[in-house]
Amino acid sequence: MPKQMKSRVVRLRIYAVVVAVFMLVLAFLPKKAGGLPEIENKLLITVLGIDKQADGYFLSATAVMPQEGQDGAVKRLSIGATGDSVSNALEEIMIKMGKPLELGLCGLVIIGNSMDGESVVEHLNYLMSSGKIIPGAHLLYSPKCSAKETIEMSNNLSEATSNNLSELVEYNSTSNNVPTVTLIKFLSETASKSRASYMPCLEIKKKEQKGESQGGGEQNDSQKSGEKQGGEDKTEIESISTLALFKDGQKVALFDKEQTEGYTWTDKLSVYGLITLKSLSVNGHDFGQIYCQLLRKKCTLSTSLDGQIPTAKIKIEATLGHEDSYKLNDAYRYYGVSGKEMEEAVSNGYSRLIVQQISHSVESMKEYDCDILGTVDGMYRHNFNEFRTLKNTVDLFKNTQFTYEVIIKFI
Amino acid sequence: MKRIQEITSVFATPDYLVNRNLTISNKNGALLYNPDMTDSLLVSRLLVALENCREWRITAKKIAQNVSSVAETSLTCDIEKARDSVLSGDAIVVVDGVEQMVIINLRKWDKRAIAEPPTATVMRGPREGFIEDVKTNLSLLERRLKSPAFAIEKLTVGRVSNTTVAIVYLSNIVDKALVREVRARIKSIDVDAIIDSHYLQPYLEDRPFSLFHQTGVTEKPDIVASKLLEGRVAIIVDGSPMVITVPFMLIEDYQSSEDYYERASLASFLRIIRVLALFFSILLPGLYVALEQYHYSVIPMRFLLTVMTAVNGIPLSPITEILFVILLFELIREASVRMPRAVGMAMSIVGALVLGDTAVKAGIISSPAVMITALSSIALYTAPNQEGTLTLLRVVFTLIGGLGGMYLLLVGILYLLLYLCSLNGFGVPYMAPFAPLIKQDLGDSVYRVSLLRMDKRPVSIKNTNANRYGENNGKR
Amino acid sequence: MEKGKQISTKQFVCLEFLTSIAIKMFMLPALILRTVGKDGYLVMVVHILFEFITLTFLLITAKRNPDKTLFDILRDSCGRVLSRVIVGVTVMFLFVKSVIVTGEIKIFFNIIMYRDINWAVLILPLLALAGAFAVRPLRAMGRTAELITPVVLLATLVLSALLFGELQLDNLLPFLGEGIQPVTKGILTFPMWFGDVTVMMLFLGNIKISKGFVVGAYASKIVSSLLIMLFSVVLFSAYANISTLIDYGNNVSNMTQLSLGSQEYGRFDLLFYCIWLLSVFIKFSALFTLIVRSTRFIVTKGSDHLHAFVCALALYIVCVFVFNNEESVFLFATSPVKYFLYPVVYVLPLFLTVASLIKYKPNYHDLPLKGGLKCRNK
Repeated sequence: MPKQMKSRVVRLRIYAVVVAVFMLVLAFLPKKAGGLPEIENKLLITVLGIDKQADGYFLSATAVMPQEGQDGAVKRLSIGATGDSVSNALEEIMIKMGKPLELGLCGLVIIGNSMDGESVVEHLNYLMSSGKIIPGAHLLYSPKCSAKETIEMSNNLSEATSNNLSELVEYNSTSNNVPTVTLIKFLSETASKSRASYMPCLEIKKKEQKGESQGGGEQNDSQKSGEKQGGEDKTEIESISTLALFKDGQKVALFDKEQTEGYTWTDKLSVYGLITLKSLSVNGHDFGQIYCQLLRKKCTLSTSLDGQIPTAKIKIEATLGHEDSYKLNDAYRYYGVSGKEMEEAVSNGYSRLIVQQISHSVESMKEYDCDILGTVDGMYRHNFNEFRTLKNTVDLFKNTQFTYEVIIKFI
Repeated sequence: MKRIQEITSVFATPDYLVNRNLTISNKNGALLYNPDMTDSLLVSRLLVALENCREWRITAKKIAQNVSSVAETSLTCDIEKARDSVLSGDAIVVVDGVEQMVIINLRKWDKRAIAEPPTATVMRGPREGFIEDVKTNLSLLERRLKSPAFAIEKLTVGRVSNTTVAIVYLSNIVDKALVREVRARIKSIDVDAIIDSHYLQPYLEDRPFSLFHQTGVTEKPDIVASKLLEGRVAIIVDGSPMVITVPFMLIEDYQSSEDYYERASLASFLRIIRVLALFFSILLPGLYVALEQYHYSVIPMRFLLTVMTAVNGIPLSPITEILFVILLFELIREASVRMPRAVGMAMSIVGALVLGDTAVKAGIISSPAVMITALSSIALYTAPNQEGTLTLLRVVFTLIGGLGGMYLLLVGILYLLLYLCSLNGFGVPYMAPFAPLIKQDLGDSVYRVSLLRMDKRPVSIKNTNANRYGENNGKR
Repeated sequence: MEKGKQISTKQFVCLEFLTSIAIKMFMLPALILRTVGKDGYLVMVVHILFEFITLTFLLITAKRNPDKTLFDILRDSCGRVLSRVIVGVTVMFLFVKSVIVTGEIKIFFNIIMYRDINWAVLILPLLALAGAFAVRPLRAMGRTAELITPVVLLATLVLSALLFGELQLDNLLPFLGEGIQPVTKGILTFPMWFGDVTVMMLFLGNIKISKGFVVGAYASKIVSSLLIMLFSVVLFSAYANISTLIDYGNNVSNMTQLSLGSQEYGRFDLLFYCIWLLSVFIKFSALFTLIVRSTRFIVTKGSDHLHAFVCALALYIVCVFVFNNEESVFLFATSPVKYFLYPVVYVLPLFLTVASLIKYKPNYHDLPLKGGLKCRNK
């Protein structure tokens, strides 16, 4: 064999031996490349809830797992544990369940009403900075009960999907019903100059189902004793249309539906939904309620500190589509109101409605001194030179004069 | 006769040769031939012709002239050459007092009919395939390339087999340096026997120990003719239906002759499918194992739960499971190739259905594993020439994906690409026209442009005549 | 010069693109944000502009004397001893860069994919890969880069498209709100993460200069710089108010996760990151190849394989035992050592250009001009 060929053969043998040794080492190492347990030995967490208790914090969670023999169906398990801190509570859950948690798929964190009076920032900071929860996870507030109860009730909502609550929240993220907030957004807004953020409120209630009576009005003994027959306790969503306001991470107030609607107009991501004009009157004719679909929305908040007087202007440009265009036709046919007049009236009506809703919301924010609009932060960013000359920024938001401009277009 | 004795003295058993004494023009002569490799009818005619050969002064030339109506003749004084001729099926006529011997071509042996090759079936296009006879194979090419530039160089290789090896090329297109190199490499072979064309491959490849073959192999004359027109050299080995073409590029295994007999758009689509199949075949099992074992966050939630349901209770780890299923597949495949036809159907059912289905139901393996491996196995056969290589690579990538996840997979992929990019064959990069990027040749790579636009020969392969078409091609 | 085994202009452009986008995506943004704050993107802009300057020197040298390698120029201008000293300092710089690159890879897989990576074992295939590149001609690296560049570019563009929606430029205001000092501090703290043009010196003397060499090089640098800036600006704008919450590694991928929105779709963006990671492997291999060739220049005895083995062993010891966590890498790379090593990035290309201007006559390749004239070969 020529010398060159021989050295090549030797080299190839060395490579083969090295590769084989490496494979053996990798295969038989006590701790393999990742040292991770297999997926079926982990608990997939999709929802996490935080409650305060006397002896610490209670962390509740929804774990999803496949149901055996059900061809892809999943079951949701409510689990939880108490700990001195959130991290301790997570550890307790793992010890209790005997399986490591997989939090990478968790898309929702619920804060229970027991956390009122305490800042949630520390706990959320921990969850995000440790990488346990993704920054895009949504936050919800449970105003009427604990996060644990909310999670337990939500698990009974539907068997259809593995992640129903998260899907519900994601739907609302673009809907004009209520704005949603992610973990990173909440923490970023709380750390901004405005020091305020919000969380949408979720209320779930139990819907009791009655048992069936047995014909002819006669009741058997078991029914007389009040025993239920058939039917489990089902739950339904009572409300997801209000907001909880947070300042410095602590809940300060709850917005009602109207106030929430007003704020939602200023949320850039909430761009779809049905808007109702309660009463429309044109040329003395009453057309009752008018419905339109919000198709596009552009919202800008501009701030100014001219002469150290804080002003802010909210400008909304909305594109609407008629839901009941038959009224336009009826208006022309029966009342001689032209399409242009009708559209102008509807446009003015909606403009007034939106301005009214936003101003109501802004006044409420001022009342609670909770600048979830980010006005002060806007002044800091866009009017920095004037901002830094201000001696007192505490009442800056309360003293801000707001103006509103609404432009409505129809398609 | 003395010369006959000299010729037959080295034979182990010269008795099987026929040594017939003759009288040619009143001189003693002899006819020597191998009855197993000669045409008996032609032998009879030869004898009649020799009988009728009455010359005043008989010479080898005159004998040759007399028998030329029977078969081709040539003259030689060389005992070695005469011996080789007898071994090849020729007959030798030796006459006392005549220095030269007459070699008469009486070769005849049974050969296979020209049929569609089993390794390259097509729906459109020619269905002829090479057979084991070099003469027939050459005729198949000569019928397609009727040009005086069609060159054939015959060499004899193998001390015992004395196999005829024909180097074929188009002299007005090919780079002469390539021909010289091929000739030199074949001439350097000093072995006992060349049984099949594959025996030549290690000598023609720059890296004979590589997993990847660096020579093209085909059974179809239309493919060889097309490759000759691109400036390649073909090597035909007597006794083998597989013809070797050099230089070779990886993309050739993903091109089919049918691509040129279909419309360009369909051909392009099919080629893209084949290239995608390459990735599926090598990477799919490894990627599945890596994702399932280490990176399940990549998998969508619903699919993840489906996989979890499927693998619930499986006693094997993902990597072991996939390797086991690959082993099952390879066993079934190998057995189905070797088993007698009579039991083929039944055993295929046993292997595929019973083993596969029962193993899943028994909970030894999961259905995603079977599905992934099946898809990968089917994808292997879009490039049959690469089947062996890809099978091995598939196992390697499954191992590294299972042991190290995406990290090792990426290292493996990059190493494979580096390896392929560093391969050259006769100066032509293996990964041409992608690396190095040769824009002109991209029109016949992963996609195919219309035949009307393929007017230049590939730049990847050196040639002396770049234009395929004339200036007025297609003009009306 | 490796006769017949040079890289083409296209391959040089591809390599430049890959080495430019390789690091600066994981460790660096987090470190800059912590140290400088939201104005950290200015640190990146300044350093990238410096890189354009060094690129200019490199292109002048490459185009003027395409047959002279880095080692040829050093040896011819400085003599045997001084040239070895300069190459020795360069090797030390390249070692530190290699440690930073391996740190990036480790962080990526540690945080994004594995919980606990057994780096002592898993670095071996990476070193083997780099060794495979080092013992082969540069042409092989060029071809590999040419092959993967379109895929990496596509993956990076997809990631950029996902990130673009998360751009909140308002959060970067006010401009220089905390003054120029943090930015200056950042410029002086993080030079070791930049200087990517240094590794391109490996290809001096081995490039087939053809039409579009300079334009291609600059275009490649501009595209890669824009992509890096987009990634950085998105990150800085998202974490502007909460920079203390930022950690190594996972941040940019968190941003794509944020834009993907839903856990239902799975983290397919991680697969795109994996494709991008090929550029990091190429960069590491290029660095290692330059280290091997430099040691070959210093110690002329021994085969390429032996030099590659020794360098790999040294790098293994450094990465696994000396700098075995990200913090130690950061501390070393930001220590005063950087003042000693970093001049390699600027002084060496400038020196090479000046030395070649003084020492050699220009040897431009014959390129056809308009009208069929060829340029003069002086």
